[in-house]
Amino acid sequence: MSAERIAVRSAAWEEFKRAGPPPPASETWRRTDLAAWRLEELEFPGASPIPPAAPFSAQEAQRLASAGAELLTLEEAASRHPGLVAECLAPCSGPDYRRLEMANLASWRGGVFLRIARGVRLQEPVVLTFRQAGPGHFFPRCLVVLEEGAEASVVEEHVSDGAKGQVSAAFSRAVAAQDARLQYFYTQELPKDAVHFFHQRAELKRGASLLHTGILLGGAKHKSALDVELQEPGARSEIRAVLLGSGRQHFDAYTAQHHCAPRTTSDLLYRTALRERARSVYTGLIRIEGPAAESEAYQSNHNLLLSETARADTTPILEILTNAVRCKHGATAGPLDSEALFYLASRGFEPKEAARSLILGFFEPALADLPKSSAERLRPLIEAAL
Amino acid sequence: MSAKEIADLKDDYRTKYGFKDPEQCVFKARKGLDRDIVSDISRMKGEPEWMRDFRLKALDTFLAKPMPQWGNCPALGQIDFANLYYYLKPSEGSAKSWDDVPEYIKNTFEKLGIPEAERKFLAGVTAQYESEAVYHHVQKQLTDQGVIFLDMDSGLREHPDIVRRYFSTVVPPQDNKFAALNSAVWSGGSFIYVPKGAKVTMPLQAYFRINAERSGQFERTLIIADEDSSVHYIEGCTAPVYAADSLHAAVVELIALKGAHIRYTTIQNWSNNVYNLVTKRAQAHEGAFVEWVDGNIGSKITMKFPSVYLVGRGARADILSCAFAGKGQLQDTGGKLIFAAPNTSGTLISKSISKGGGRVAYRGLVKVYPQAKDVKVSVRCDALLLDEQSRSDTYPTMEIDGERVQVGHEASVSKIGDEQLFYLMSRGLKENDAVAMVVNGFFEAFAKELPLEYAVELNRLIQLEMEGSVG
Amino acid sequence: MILNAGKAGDLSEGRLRVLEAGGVRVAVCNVGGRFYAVENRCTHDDGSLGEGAMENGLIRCPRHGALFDPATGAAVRLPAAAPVRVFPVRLEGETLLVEVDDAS
Repeated sequence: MSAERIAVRSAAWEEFKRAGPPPPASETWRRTDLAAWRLEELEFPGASPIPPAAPFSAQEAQRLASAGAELLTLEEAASRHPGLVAECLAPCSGPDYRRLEMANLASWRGGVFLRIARGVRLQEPVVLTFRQAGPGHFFPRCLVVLEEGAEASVVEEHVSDGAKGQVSAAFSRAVAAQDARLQYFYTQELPKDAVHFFHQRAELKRGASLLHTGILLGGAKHKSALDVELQEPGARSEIRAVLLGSGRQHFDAYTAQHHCAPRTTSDLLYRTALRERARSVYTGLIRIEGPAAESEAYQSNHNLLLSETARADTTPILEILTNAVRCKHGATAGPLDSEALFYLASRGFEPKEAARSLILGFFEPALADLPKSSAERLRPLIEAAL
Repeated sequence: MSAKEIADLKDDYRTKYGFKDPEQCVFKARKGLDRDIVSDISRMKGEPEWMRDFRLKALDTFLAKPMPQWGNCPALGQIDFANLYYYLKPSEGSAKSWDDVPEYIKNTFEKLGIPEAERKFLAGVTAQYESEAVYHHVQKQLTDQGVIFLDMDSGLREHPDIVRRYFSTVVPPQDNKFAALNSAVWSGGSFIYVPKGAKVTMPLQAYFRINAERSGQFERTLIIADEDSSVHYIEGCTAPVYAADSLHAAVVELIALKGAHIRYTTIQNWSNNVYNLVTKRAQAHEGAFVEWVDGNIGSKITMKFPSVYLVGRGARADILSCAFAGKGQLQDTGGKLIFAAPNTSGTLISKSISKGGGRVAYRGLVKVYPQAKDVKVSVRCDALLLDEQSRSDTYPTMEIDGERVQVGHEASVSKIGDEQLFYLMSRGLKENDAVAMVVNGFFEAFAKELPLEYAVELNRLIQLEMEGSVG
Repeated sequence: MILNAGKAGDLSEGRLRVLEAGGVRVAVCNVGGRFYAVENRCTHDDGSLGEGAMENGLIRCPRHGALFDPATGAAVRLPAAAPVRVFPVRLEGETLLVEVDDAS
């Protein structure tokens, strides 16, 4: 690693040590304890770290190279695209996540850099597998850039070898230039005792579109923040998420649909099903700035409470600074429809089967219209978890 | 409306609400707030020792608590606590008939459009001028039913046992800084006790005014509806326009015992220099039903979140809130529904409009505790932004922990649809009138819950706001 | 799990003390010479009950003035509307012991 790189990491480490815990009244950390990330155990890694397994194979990188895309580790990309990488490494998640972001900036290894060149349309999804091996802390980092008119589908999956006590703080960034179309799948399938933080910032330029689907299944504690900025006119985003919790799992997710320019649209469908003592906390912001006239934003959060000890907290927020907009949000929380259950029972379904069918049906709208290859990946994941 | 009709409305309003009476006070505490002033207030009122101690402890709490910092609270940093008058006593005592009320106070209420003839339609009127209740008239019917309707000071004097039993059990002084302030310097407000089974068929009303420059209004209202009783209480507020700011920090506690029904209606139209900070909370016991109907048109900043705690099986709550924010105004309103018992249900409807740079915020909480099974809740908040400078924020939170709970929430923010306007204008309406009609329609769910005089008055106030002739 | 709540003699009448062990937070109090323990989390808004005060034998949350009966955990005054968990306390010699189960 170059001296310059080390200096940057050292600076981040100093920042990390300086950043204190969030104040007790912090709304962001009110329902999830940052202590679970055991950040006090961290040490500054030193000059010769062992990189984790690459999230992609060499063949994959070659295949993409011939298709007009560049798939490298972030470390390799630093010399070829210093500007882009430097921008990716600038802190962007805000004061609430400062400690985690600084820990990541000081400690990340390998990382992913994916650039799809102008006009290139990839047919097959690019799968990035961040696999945690052995106990300890993991700091994935990922940058995806689509140039003008490019189209791609990216899967960022977080998996594990099953070792106990894994803690992760992943930071991802996606930029879609003019008229680019990005489909992004983020799946979290970590062990039931893992602790995971995920922050993603997506920037959409003129006419760009993003379809983002999150599948959240694992971890003892999961906290994520997805910040979508519709920066230029005509940008569109659609966010969906499917969350399945059981045992004592705790999920705390934040999304932001931030409209900065006119004629932008966003939609969000967030569906959770919670069993046993699982808990979901969801906070969704729609913010429409003054110049973003003629924009439309929608958000809906539906929670299925499958046991009397499950709990859902939902806070949909609207901050609207101009009137020429259409904006709606909705949230529900409740058990399975007893009439539907009765109907299925009368058709010969066993109670468990009936519940399973209804839950899959409940998740359907979040999985609708997905490209076949993605649906084929995601459905089995959900069915297996049920 | 023709230009002349609008001009007439404006003049009428200025005379009707914008007048100031020269101060004629019997006692005016010096500026600022300390233990001596609080003790003086208690002494002047001839209160029992326990109330004086309660006030002094609350003063300690007020001084110790920091100013709240959430949401729009930093805007309250401009309140100059040391430079307010916390107590003004305008006359020698409470009169029993209209004739005994001092002339200038009578004039105030004549001007407010509350002629003596209204007594035929309304069960009782308590008028609060400055800090003391000055006129009180309770119809024989109420007395026969055993209904107690007094100002809070008289309530404490004449029914100390009932008051002591319930006072501050719904809003303790430590609840927030302004509840602590109110607990220390409260004066006036209404005390209502409705005995078991009594149904009060006509609404009980009260009017409040702030007249003196830089004075505070700290009324404390306590309403207890005993088992299977029912009562409807209405308050309307107004204040003249002044350069210096005024503070209104009130506390309202409602207790609906088993099977009781309380409806509490407010139309707030404080002038645009008033900070209106109110803690309104109700406790609904088994099978009880509580309704808050809350309209906010005036004030510089209003922060008010009527709440219902459903603590008994089968209790119900409805909160209906409407807010209008014009230039320079902030209406930060909403409501809270807390479900702590099984088979409970509630609805919350909030409608708000902002214009000319006004800001509305909706802040709501729906909380369902684990012991609350078979609960149904629905929340709907809609905001209409009439122009580009205005702003709307919505912060609803739902914490759902019960079993067989159905919660639904919907919110929307928009402007008046072009198609809607086009349609109305194509029917011959001028644009202003078309907008006014849409606005009225938007508030209809709220207006239809008001007694007729209030609905008419609400319409007129909104017309004036729309013309930008107020504040 | 048994938590050591210190010496009974050190917790005088009308006082509260907070303990934390194994991720569980407990508030212990002395009411007229009898000792009680509750979960140190107000059911209204997560206030630290142990940092509040005693009022007529009831625990008062410092945040918004909610009152709880330490013997039963019952919420006696708003804004608390749900009971707080109670834990059995016993005296072994001079030492107070609180029995906490793991279902928190």
